[in-house]
Amino acid sequence: MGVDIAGMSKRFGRAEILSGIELSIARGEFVALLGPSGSGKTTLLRIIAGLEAASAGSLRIDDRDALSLPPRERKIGFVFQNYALFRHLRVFDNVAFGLQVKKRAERPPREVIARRVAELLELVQLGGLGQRFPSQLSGGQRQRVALARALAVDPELLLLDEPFGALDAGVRVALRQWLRGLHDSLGLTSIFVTHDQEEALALADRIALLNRGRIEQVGTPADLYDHPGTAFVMGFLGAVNRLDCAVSGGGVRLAGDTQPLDAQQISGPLPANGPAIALVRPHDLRLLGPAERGGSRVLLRSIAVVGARLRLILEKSGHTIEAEADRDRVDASWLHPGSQLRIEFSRVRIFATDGSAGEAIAPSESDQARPLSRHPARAALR
Amino acid sequence: MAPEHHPGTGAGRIVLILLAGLFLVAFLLVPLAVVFSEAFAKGGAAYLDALGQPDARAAIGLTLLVAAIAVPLNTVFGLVAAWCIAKFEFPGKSLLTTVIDLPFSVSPVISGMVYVLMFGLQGYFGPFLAAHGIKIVFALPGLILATVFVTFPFVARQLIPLMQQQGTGEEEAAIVLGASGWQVFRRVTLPNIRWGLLYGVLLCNARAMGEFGAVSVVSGHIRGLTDTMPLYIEALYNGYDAVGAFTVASLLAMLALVTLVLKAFLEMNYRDDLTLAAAQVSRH
Repeated sequence: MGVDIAGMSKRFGRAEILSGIELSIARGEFVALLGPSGSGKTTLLRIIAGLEAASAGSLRIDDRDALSLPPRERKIGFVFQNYALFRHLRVFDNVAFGLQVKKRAERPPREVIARRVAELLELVQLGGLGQRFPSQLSGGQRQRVALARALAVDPELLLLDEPFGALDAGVRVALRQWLRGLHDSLGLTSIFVTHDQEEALALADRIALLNRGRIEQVGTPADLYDHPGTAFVMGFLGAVNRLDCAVSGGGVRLAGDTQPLDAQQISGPLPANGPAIALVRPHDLRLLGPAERGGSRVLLRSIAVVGARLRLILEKSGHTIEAEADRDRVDASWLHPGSQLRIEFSRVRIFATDGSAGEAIAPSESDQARPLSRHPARAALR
Repeated sequence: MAPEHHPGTGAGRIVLILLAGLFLVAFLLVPLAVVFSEAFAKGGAAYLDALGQPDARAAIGLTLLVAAIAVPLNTVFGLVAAWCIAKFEFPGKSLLTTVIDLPFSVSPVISGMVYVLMFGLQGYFGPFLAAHGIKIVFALPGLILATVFVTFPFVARQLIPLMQQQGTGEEEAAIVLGASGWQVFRRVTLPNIRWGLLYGVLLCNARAMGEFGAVSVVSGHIRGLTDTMPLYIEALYNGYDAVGAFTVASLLAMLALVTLVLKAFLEMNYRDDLTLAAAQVSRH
């Protein structure tokens, strides 16, 4: 069950919610639509399900034009963000709903429905809870009822809107591993929406990262993490330090440095000459010992022990860099607030300064799930 | 922790409760008791005799007929209007919401006058209707129209906040699971609003049977033909037949009591389905 989306856009009045969406999903893939709130990811999922109409573009599911099909003929299962369980029906009847509303000629006999529902409840580990009402279940149990209900109609494509969003952190991690296993064992094709980059990186075969109604980049989690195409992608997929710099004649000099970076310290293409921003991953920073030469000068502002790790707040020409290092790798005895240190950058990525890049890195309201990036900059030292 | 500083205790509280109780007795319970005592002033035989009058039977039958037509109509209208307003976005939605309240804000007499102006002999459609032998004003159709107009808001007002609070999530889930429009309504929407709907129908019915003003204007007061119970009661009272008037009035009073009991029962047992708390279940 492949999905092909081409040239899709969606407008509400004058607001453009989606524009120029191109995305192909192969049979059996587990794809994440990742992005901050308001990026259009849920709208895209709802268009695939047939709950919203696209303003332009095409959607093919299994090589059939799906935009002209009503939701029920698209062979999809949809798990809603708040589950949308039928509150007046028992768990059993919630799961059986999709079978019970089939046309008489296609509807399985009562005993077959009962057997199928029992199997599904076993599958989602809710055997024995069929007579409960949704209000008598915990959040994780409701989520699994919603999943069983969606699976009852044998969908080929499973769509999940923030499937773990309403759950406690502990339940969330357990449930998502279980869901991934279910996807693999049932041979489903799945698309899930999330604003949590860690969830997308941990679960998905591929990630489509959305920003302001456009797809910024599509790729495997490793692709996106190691080869981010834009500053937004790099900033959204984990902690980064963000520094001003200047590009001239193929070289890059960080603000406050006298020497340009060596070519091997830089990854990826360079933008045109002029002011730019340098992004560097925490694990691509190294604290130089007193005997080593080179590097950039920084001031150690504060130092804290966080379990097995050491957290350093550094200052480099006006930029605050928060850094972490393994305590057993760094001799903390010579580190005191106020002391001058030198750090060496590697795999620095340089992006042109445009308005969107700066904004994209600033924490947004959807950041609850990724506390690491609350800080404007942060680095881990090795 | 001093009790006299607590707003809910002390002498002030007792005085307030006494005042409210006194008010209730003086303005509600005593009049209700008077209705029944006047009705039985000349004994049970007179009571039954008053009810046995052909005109009384005609008035009771007419009231039941009007309610039997107006209440189902307004149930359907109310459902459709509430469905539109609660589940869809469209231009003019707030205007529609306001218009639904119009019968509450307009004096019932004016509601009746409107129909006379439109369908009466001197009205806009009067000559046309007369030429085709159709009687609306001073006949059953006029009574039904006026009653429908006056009782229009009850079901819709009850359902709109309830349906808005419940949102469209469950309906969408049903659609994706393959339910047809009718199945969505019958299996998802209707069960979720059933107690609110019953509550609205109850209030609508009480008003439909008790309506006086609008019906009075369009009725023409033809005894035995177009007098509903409230109009018949007034006619008897004006004719100094107190026992007859209060006998029929006691029937309306009993309707009110039954409505009240059912309403209290619904409120006690299905509070979650009647009030805005309903949606909390789905949100957890």
